[in-house]
Amino acid sequence: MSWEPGIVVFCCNASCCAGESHASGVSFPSPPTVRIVRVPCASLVSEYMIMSALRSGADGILVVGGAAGDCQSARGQEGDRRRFVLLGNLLEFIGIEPGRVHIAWESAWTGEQVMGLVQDLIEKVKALGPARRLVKQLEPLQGEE
Amino acid sequence: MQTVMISPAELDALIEKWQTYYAVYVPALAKPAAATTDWAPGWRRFVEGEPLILPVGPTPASVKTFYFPQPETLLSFSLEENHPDKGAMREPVKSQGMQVVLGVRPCDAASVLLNQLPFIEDPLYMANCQRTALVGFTCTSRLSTCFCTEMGGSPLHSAGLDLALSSLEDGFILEVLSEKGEILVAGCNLVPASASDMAGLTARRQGAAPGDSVQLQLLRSCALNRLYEAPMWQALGEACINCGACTFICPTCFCFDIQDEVVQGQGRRIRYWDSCMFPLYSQHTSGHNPRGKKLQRTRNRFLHKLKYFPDRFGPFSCVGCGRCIGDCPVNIDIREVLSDLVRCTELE
Amino acid sequence: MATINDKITDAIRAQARKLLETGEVAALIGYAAGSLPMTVKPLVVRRPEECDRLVWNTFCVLNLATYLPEVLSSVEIPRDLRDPKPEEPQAKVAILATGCWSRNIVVQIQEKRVARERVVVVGVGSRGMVSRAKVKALFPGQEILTVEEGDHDLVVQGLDFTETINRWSVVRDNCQTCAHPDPVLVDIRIGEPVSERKNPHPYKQVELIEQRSVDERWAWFTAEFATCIRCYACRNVCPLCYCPTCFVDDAKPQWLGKSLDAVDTGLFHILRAHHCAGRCTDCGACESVCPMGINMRMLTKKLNKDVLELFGIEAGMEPEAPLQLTMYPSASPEFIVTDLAPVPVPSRKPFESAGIPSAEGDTSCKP
Repeated sequence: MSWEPGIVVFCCNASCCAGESHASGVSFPSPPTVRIVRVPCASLVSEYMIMSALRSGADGILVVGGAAGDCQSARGQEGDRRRFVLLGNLLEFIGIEPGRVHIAWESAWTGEQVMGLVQDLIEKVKALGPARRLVKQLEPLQGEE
Repeated sequence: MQTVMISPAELDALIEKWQTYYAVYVPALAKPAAATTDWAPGWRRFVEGEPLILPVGPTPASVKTFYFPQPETLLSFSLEENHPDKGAMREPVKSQGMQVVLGVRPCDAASVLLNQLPFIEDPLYMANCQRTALVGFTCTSRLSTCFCTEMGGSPLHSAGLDLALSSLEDGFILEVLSEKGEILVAGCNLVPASASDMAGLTARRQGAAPGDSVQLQLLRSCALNRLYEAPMWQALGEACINCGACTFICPTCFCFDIQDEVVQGQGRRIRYWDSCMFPLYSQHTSGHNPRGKKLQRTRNRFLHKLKYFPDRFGPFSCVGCGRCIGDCPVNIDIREVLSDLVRCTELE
Repeated sequence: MATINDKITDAIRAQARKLLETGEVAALIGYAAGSLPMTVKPLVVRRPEECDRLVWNTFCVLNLATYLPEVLSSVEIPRDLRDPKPEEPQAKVAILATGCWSRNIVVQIQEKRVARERVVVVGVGSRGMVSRAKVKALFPGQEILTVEEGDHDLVVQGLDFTETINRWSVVRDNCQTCAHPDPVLVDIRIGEPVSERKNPHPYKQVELIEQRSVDERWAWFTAEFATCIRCYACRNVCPLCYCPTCFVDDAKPQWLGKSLDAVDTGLFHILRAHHCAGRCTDCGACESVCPMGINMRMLTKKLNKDVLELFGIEAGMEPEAPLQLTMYPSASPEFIVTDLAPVPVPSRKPFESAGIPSAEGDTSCKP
């Protein structure tokens, strides 16, 4: 059986809602390994959520938010963009493969655009292989294979 | 039990023999070059052919990590449907193999006996006691932070050890002190120690006999309330940053917490070290925290060692290894706390 | 002959006594001598007669700003939660501050942790603090019993040795690359000002790691943090870490495990460093206090480098400035990105004119 990467997509409810419903519809066969987490605002996605997804074994993470000036919460992404840029750099610095965590800002996403991003990420992550770094493993029990 | 002579070469041969049967650990004096799983904080597996180098004074980390591993799996379970362990808690099969800890100092050996008092009914702790053999060296020199003699211990003491080595000019006197010690030296042709060497060791020990000092006796007889309300805690609590460094490097700090960790449907109930310095340590479910202030937490640590524990179990819960003095970020010195407390008992 | 630090000690004591005697401040945060060589104890003096315990030397590695909010609230008149705020001005607290500590006080003012009018900053130019670990590493296996401090060298004495070493060679890495050794916020100055330093390679250590391959960087990270015992000394000694409940203590959802698992330990350090982004002044307290000798400062230093390169900002230079991570200048083209790779910034300070005021409150440090 070939390996399919597990992808977590944090998706801004307002600007990418169309994309999400499109994905679950018939026109785009969304793979079962892609989990879409709808959030009221992309800036609600904290560094904890991204790290938590990594820790739980997500092979790729995508955050999709609206563009500046186009945010339903007026200035929703303000604090967030800078934080995400820094977090991404820090993760690369400590040796997480570039490409696992991907953040995209654009106004008015269409379903095709979002799914295109997801497809790109799947291709990238497939080349990288399954996530191993910062993935929590339980201690093996004695006598366990 | 026997007392024999052993030369350094014979000791090396003995260690190499243990190495083939048991897991032998020695103090790690430097950080490991790469992350390894075969490593307990401050200890590493003995590698054949490497010389055994012991630091002056206590080893970098205490031996408690062998008795009270961080973390220790208590139970395993599964949340998956159709899993045979669904709805069942299973006790993990623990390793029965003996582990030999080499290079232990008398202060750490004493700490193992102290920790057995509260853990006497704990099957996991006692199982680890069963499978761990301590091979120790009595001290010939001390660090400026060593104060075992002030805490009623002795640098030449062998209590708690399975094998105790005391250096002589051309070798060691090896005292076999337990059944585990007997097993370790079984089959070795060693010469019994001469009467004069044994007499020399006894004489040296008499100069540093363990027992309560005057200071400790004062503390013992002082009412708890007076120590609790001492004005000294104010300045101490103000300086303390409430990190857990002292409690984690301390050989006699044994507080723990229990948690379930679940990863992808499989779970473990683990026991891990906790510290009375952390606010969460004493937090109630209601949100109330009886030790909500820094001062109260700092006070708890010292009073537990110097008053609550001796009141309950008898001995003081400090062996005077001095690790916390050297590693405290804000230089809180337990010797100063002790003398300040004694001054409190004297004031009227 | 009195050394520079002896003179500073005398001046600090005189100044502290004056401040406490006149009642201008209710307390002063400084240092007392430690019980071991190369250690100092933080000390809060509240009475003039205690002032002679204050010392200043080359081993003052903690950041006193950590204590400031707590000491400020300790000198307030106790009141109940529902009691009205007193109208008369509250008692002041004086604090010794070098360059980085004063910048942390500025951050505390920006984040509304402390009120500027209640703090009297007693500024001391830093000549660089000595790393105890570096001195110890020069004498492996030997105990250091005394260290005498001169202006440019240290006399280290043990049981059977006495050696003189150059002071600058054992000064902490962060002090060696520091550009602002002189306090940026001063009410009362002690000693001579120290001029700004120009360092051609302030981020050299970080760059050396950046140049490695991904796998090498991962190997470095896992080995560096493998010995962590999760004592949280780095967190508690940091003036930036003041959440009432730290993310490591969150229970539902629990972001990371509590034991010595390498993943959980690593996540703690990554997230802790990330919380200091745009606020860290590289005071080096975290690295200095680590009982296991872990260099977690590399993570915050990397973030400082990125914050400077991407946003053109150094933390804690101006009390009036908005908080850096709450700003998002919408007109900045470099932020229309679809990937996390750092985007080069054409000019040094691109956002000054973009002019979106900072958001109310502080989102950069939300727990």
